[in-house]
Amino acid sequence: MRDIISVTMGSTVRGLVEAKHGVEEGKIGEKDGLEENGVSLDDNGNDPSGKVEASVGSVNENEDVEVEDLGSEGDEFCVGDFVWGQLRRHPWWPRQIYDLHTRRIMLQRLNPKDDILARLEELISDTSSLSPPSQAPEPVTLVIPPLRDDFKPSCFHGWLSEEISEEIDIKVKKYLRGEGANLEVLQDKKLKGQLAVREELYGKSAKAAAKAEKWLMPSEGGYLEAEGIEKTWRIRQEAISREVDISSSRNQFDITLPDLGPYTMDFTSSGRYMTFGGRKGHLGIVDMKNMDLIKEIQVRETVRDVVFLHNELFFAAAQKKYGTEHGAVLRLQFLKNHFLLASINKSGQLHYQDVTMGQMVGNHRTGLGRTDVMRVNPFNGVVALGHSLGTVSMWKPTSSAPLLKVLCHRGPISALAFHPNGHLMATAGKEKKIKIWDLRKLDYELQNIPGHANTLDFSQKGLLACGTRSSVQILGDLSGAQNYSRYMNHSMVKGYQIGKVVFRPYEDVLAIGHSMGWSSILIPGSGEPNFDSWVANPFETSKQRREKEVRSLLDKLPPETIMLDPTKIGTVRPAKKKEKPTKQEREAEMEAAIEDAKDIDFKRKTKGRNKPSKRVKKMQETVAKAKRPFLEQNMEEEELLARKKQKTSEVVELPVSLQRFAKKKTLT
Amino acid sequence: MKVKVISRSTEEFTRERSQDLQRVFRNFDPNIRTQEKAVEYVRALNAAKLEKIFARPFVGAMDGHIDAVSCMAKNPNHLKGIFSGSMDGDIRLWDIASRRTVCKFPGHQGAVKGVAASTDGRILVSCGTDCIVRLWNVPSSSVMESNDSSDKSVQVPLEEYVWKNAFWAVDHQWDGDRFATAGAGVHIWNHNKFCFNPVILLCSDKVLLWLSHDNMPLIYRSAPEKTFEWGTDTVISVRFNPGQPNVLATSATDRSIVLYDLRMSSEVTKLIMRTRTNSIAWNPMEPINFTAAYHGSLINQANEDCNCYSYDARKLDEAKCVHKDHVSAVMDIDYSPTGREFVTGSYDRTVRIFPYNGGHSREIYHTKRMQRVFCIKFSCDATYVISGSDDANLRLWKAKASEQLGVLLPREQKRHNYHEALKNRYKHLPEVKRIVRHRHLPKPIFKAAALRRTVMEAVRRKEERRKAHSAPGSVTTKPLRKRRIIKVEE
Repeated sequence: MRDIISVTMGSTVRGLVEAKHGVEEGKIGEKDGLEENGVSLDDNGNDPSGKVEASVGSVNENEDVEVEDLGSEGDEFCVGDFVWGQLRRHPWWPRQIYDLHTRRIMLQRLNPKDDILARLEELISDTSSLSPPSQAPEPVTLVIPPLRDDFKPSCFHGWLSEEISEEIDIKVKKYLRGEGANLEVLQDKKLKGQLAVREELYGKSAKAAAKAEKWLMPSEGGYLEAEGIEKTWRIRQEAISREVDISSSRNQFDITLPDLGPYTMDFTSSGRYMTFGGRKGHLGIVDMKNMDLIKEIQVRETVRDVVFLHNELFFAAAQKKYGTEHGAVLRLQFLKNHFLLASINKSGQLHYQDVTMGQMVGNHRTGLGRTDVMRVNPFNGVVALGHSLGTVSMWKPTSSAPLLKVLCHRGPISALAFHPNGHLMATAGKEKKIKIWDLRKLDYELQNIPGHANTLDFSQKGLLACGTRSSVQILGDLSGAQNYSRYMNHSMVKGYQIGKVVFRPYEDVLAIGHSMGWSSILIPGSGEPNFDSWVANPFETSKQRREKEVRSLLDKLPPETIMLDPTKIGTVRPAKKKEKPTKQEREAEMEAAIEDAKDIDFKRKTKGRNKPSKRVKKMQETVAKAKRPFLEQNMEEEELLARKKQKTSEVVELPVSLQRFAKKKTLT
Repeated sequence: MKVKVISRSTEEFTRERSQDLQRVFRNFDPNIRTQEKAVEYVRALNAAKLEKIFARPFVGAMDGHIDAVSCMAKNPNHLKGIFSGSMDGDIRLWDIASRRTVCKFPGHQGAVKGVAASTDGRILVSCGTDCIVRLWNVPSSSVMESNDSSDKSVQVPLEEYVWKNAFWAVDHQWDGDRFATAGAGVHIWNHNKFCFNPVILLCSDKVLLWLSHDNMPLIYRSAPEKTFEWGTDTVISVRFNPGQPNVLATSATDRSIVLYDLRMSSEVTKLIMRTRTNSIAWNPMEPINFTAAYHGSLINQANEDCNCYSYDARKLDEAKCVHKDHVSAVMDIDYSPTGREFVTGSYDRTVRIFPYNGGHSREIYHTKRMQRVFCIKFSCDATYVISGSDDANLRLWKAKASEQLGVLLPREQKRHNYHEALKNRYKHLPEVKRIVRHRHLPKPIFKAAALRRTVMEAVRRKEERRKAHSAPGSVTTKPLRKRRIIKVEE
């Protein structure tokens, strides 16, 4: 619930409440306006919806007060009520209406050590210091989130902290990156102690990160919520553009370039720059923040794909003529941690080129036919190809055989996309099915959604865009249980053929490349709201870019680090237990060796050495030679067994009367 | 319908003026950092390589002596001061920072075999083969601070005690006025309370003339406060316990290590080894833990079987740890003030740094020109190592070969810490381990080490076979920690 209730306060605290620059605004009434507000309060209290929506343009309206009755039947607030409000220099915070006389008693009851209550106290003292002391019952503004039934002011603090700690616990889990090591099995006490300290440190840092995420993030993510009988997928772009601010609504546009299309595009990892490529040779780079066309080239030949390299200064285009090393490239992908440019060409060859050195790192024949469905899994750098027989194959540059082949569809695969956390894969087949797969368990698909898609893309927050013909459907995992359902729809002009959909990183924007140019629409909740300056900074200066280039080159990963489970790197491989072959296996092995020996064709010798008897003898010799190592091994083992038996028999104590005949043990 | 989309204003996320710092926003979400483990591993690998690139341990040589440097002593009052004694009887005080001689102490006729400074840093004791113990005033700090290189001040001895035999080593008590000399026996002297024995003129011994306060000539001979002798062999090294001022350890040519307590009239323990011990050092940090109940704790000693053995002074029948890597006799040993490491100088012309509980050295230092190392010291701040060798030079080394000297900026410090943590985290991985462990060795040492390994392997094999071919239990192998010990006498 995001209902925010703000209440007008008395004139005594006038000037203490400042307007929060945003939608909600608590205005302070005049001294005589108190009654007025009280009336409006009453009205609103009787309002069945219990709430008044704030409109964007309401900043100028003086009497714009949003109020919800806090459940008490009274038409005014009592001392001791909790309300949500804002004071100067402080954020919106729950406050309590108090009486100066009872304040001291109340403060004594509160534990001043608790953060929230200390904060409350601080706020209270803040107001009281500014207010004339003569006026005794002093209301302060406040609001609380909708309360539970069992809510009492005394349990308020416990309830809130419990809520917060639960939320933080969930976040801590994310930062812990999996379970801790099981230290109980360790024999070495010292090592155990060291590891325990380390685990504790991990826990602490995860908690610190979770807290930082909870309290310190500068922006909040977008969202789209339907109310009443509305459905999110019926909400159109025009409706959204009416609700959002001007700078965001600028992100909705269509660029019509009918001559050189269809267009394909790619974003830099920060989402600031976009490169586009028209099929008929129209290449360019656009700064998406201020919509500057940075570069535009006409290469006068077919361009099949474009991709940014590590920063906005470099991009690769799959052109018809200049694919010399890569061949006639259909799709390009860039692995930015490895500085590898991966391409698939018409003859089904997968090439990897190191763009720092220009060296070809891998060149694999897929042997699965021509395809233009290729995506990199950002989680581990594995390249996935979708083939016409319905299989998806995954590749790494250092092995010429695929890491994995999955039969995903009963027809050609038309599109493929990976979730940024690397565990989900979406595939679309020409048999009008979109399937969601869990990459950790590929036995069966997680979900099978009917629908057709020419192009798929996952957003940073996990929304899935499916583009087909002239419409785009956005699926979302709304329940959080990996169950994708309709989230938004967008239809373009009939006849536009969508070629590519790409989410813009760190923005709630989806770019659509189609036969008549490209468009951009708003998809609330698709992008990561908070960027990390050291990872991808949309506001990067050229100096920062240069520094980052050097740093990322220093951290360039060798191609060997591409593997299905990248968390394996840095761990020690467990020693393999050498298993003894069983007796049958050994016998089978021996027989095979004998057969092999028998199959040897001997050279025909001359001068009497080719007699049948000699040949038979020679054959027998070779067979014996082949048998020998096995027999020797058998003998050794028997001997060992016998020795063991002897030892055990020695231990058996003889009866006292016979002990004098036993072999004397040598004294040490 | 409620809707919100991400909307960032440029003003909020960029700096206002060009003088401001660039704003930095963090998001620690694991999803936006892909393959973080691989990146970290690559960084660890690079850190290991950088460590190798920056490993330049040799800081400089201090030349001035005209014969081999035989002994050294730290100046406890001055971080940058060190005393050195030479085989030609020369004693010098060096300024490590400027690497020059600050002061000379002439007087000894033969080789100086031991120098030691009192803990308060006022008195320097030296002794040598000329059978004389000399006490010197350590020059004031102003001499250390002065920068004129031309004027080398010369000191005259404060006292001279003549004795009957040549001295091999001297060490000063950590807390008190006594010092111990080693020679034919162990003698305890007190430099504040002189034990004057009136002797007759024309005595066979060397005689000193002393003036009493009433200007009457008096003839005295100084004598030690106490003498310990156990057997007839020469004692070659002596070290006081840093925790217990009255406990000292000596080693003698009869291959023994003897622990003495000054409060007792006789010796405490005697340990006899297979080979003789060249030098002993007490761990300065460990005695603190044990002083309360027992007399001291750990001793490290350099043996001619090229290994060092760490002992618990309470339990001498077994070494705590055997430190092996040297290929020739270890001549001197000194603990880092942190007590976590010690440095050894060896006859094989190398200096090695060992962890106090590790079997193999962490670092080896060598140069083409450095000859047999006779004495070695850790600096009082654990940052440098000073070696004195046969080639009449003192050499200054960094204790951590790739450490950056000078004042570090906080960012540099953070960077170093990060690299250190990375290396530590991935130290078990083969590639990182290989790079971190690899040391280039001079050919003779490499070959000698290989030979040593071969011999040891052969011995081990032989032992194994002997065991296999004899009646079970008749042949036992002693663990290496006990193998060199013959007996312990109380």
